[in-house]
Amino acid sequence: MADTFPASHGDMSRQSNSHDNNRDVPKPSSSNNNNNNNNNSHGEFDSIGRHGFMDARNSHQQNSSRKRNNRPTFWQRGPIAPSMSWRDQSRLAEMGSRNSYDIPDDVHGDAAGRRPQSTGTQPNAEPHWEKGGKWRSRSNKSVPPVRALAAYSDVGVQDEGNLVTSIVGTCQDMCPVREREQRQRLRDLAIFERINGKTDETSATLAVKRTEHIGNDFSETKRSWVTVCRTIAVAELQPSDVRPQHVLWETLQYLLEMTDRRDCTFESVHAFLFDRTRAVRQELSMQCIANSQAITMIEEIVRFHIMSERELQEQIAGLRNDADSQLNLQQLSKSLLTLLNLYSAVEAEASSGWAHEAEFHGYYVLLNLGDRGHSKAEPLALWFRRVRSLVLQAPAFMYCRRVLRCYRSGNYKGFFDLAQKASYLQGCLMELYFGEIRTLALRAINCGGYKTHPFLLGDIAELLLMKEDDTEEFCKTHGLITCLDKGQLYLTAKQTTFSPSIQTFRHQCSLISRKRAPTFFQEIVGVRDKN
Amino acid sequence: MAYGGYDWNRRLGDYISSVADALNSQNGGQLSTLISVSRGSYCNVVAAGLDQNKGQDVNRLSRQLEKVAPLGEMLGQHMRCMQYFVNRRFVDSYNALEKSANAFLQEFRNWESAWAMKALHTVAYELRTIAEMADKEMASNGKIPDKLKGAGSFLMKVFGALAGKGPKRVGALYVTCQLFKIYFKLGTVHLCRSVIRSIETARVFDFEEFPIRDRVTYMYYTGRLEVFNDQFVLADQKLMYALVHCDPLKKNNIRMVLKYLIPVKLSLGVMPSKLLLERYGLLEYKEVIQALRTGDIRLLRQALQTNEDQFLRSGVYLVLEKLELQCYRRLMRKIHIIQKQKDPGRAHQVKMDCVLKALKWLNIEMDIDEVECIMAILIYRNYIKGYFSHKSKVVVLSKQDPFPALTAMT
Repeated sequence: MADTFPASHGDMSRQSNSHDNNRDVPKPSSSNNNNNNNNNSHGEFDSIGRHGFMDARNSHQQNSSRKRNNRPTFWQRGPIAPSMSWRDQSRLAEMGSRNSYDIPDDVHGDAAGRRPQSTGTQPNAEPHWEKGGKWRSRSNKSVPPVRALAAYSDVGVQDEGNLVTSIVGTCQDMCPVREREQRQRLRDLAIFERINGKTDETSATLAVKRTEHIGNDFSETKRSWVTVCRTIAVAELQPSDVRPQHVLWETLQYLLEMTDRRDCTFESVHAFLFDRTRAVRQELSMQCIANSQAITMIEEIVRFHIMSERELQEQIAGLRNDADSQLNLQQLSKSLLTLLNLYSAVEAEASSGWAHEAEFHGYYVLLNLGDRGHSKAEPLALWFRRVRSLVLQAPAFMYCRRVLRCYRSGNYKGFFDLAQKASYLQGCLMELYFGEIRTLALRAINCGGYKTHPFLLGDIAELLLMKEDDTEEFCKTHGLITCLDKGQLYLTAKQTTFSPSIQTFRHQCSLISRKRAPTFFQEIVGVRDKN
Repeated sequence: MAYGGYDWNRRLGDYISSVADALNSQNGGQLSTLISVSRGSYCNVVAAGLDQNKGQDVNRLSRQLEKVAPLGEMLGQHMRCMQYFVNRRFVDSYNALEKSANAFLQEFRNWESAWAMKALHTVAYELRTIAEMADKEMASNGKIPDKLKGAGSFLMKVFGALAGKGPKRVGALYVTCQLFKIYFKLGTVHLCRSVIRSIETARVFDFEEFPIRDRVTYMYYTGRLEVFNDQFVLADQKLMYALVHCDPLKKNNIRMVLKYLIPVKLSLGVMPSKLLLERYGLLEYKEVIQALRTGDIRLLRQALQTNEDQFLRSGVYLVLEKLELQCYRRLMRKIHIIQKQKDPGRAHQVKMDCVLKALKWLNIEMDIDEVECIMAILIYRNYIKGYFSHKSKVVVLSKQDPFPALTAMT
């Protein structure tokens, strides 16, 4: 196990002495997981003083263990053969994934199963590998770890200049034993992790590893979740704390299935997944995993964030402030950027690129439609320079460009027409702008309309994809008076009282809701679930 | 080899002596020529000298370098940089250059006068140029290119050394322009903001006192930044400044300015002449302009599609796409003119149905509601003056100035 840490790739001369020392610090050992981590000054799981934020948000009690306890525990497998070198280990882990559970073929229809963590050619392992199975690689092209890690630059895992130390995890549970035991002891378990609702009892099938943080603080008064995310130096980690690819995959499926739980609020599920999916991204990054399965995972995480945004917006209408939504949007753009980086870092097998590349580039456009003024994001005009022509012409992307055109020229009719043709996830993103566009429409109608020919409110409602009652309320919040004539409501133009409302209209548009697949899970994983 | 080892050593020695001379006489121009790497004539001499030397005469070399104290260390690194550069090892070359530049900057800070400004500018230029080459080399070796980013941080330090009060400030704008080039290349244009603030808010130094060359470049980049924010009036001012002050013989530079100025002018309703497009090889705009003149939405869309790649890569596509509203305005104007000829009394009433027919004739699919929406937006954004009736689907144009000048538009 001593060579679990790979030799550095890259320019040794850049390496500082202190870094040399760091690389020698971890002494990976699968047997001392149960020791508590007093001897580890960095204390990745040292969560003393950390609130279990699930508890703080929601005291909802429920028996979440019943179903999960019956679940076959494929991840409770023995440790991986210790004598293998780190590269081969990743292979083994991968093959484990191939045997241990069934990945439907559809997943990789797009990429024909690039082998994971291809860091170079390994002639010895090759025949073994070629025996078949879904992960067989048809090409020898590889993604150097440096580039893989660069793709994940938004996740917060440190790269040492151009010197990458990647790690290969050996943790076979969704949550490393060390973290699980510590959180049991500290009664720091989320409701979904408790056995029979007990705050100090969990199991390997319930506990899911959290994002590595320092300085978490859930402030009850501000109702905001302040997280200082630490940049993780890979050298500080122990393989037993990191989950290999197949465990991450299985963990993600477990998490995403939770989105359809009806025994608790969506917010509590989201809060749980928000943190746990981020941990999944972190670990993909630490292990420099850049392959088609990693891409599928990030795609699913992005979809989860998009769909969550809509659900969270619905909640905001009540008392809450929009801190959850802000954080979700932040992680949405980060994971989307990671995904777009991965698309260009990992070369697709098919000449037409990755199957969902255009779809997700489109989400980027939709997410950044608005003039976000002083944001640090690259202006869309510059971003377009780097989009591959293949993507530019793809129908899914062309659709989003049309949306952008309507948005920029203020063509609200065109915008809402397009919204009706949107996919569910496109609709989720477009709905973020509905308030703004509706305000623009009202303003334009009020400004240019003929005073003595009032506008039938029903027409406006239809135009703006709203219910008539809501439209009336919407006009009122903008300082516009509607009048009743022969049983029908009208809006008179040229009212001087118009004032743009800050309080945006939050009701979900039922039209978008109807586009959704039967379950959130199906929406997120897409075609794969048809099996 | 035509030259013996002694010859090369002598040449190296000559080179070092020339640097020492330039230092002693405070001849910035000469120093600049001597330390130029990518476009200098001394680079090959130094590289060949060091290649021949192969470290045999290290002592002799370092003794010679003492002549140029306190820049001995700097020149040592700089000669390494030149050697690597000639041998096409750009990453190594950049690393040596950054060390050299660091040593040079420290000395430069100590000098009270700005005599070495030209040399510092050469260093700044080389840092950016070689960093770009180094990044290419790194990318092709599967590494993450980070040298240009590093050059950006270093040039910020250089900028800091110049931007204060005093005689050195005059050189700050050159470094600013190098920084802009880096930020535009890397797509991190938000970093431009702090530099711009520092240039534009200073009251101690009038912008017009900067060298004309730097002012033109500066206005070109800040003008492009305004284009990203759809601030066409500001973009127009800046790009016009660049155009007017640009050296008329630098045809390529004028072309670069025009590439962005034309879309901006179009957005403000000013059409360039055909002659201008031809003279500067900007014919990709020809059809766009024709579409705007005739109100032909279909032609506009086609023109954008044909040159899509070019427009997207130069970053003007979104601006050109926005011209569609102007095209609708032109169409309305055409209809208005035709109606005037037929029936002057009712010319200001345009039926939406009429617009719809015109669009259908252009193969643009649209329904009457969308026509109404576009009319509403045209009126709201002050492209046309008038009002519309939802009930009778008519646009009534104002009798006075129904198509106001676009320059007044915000």
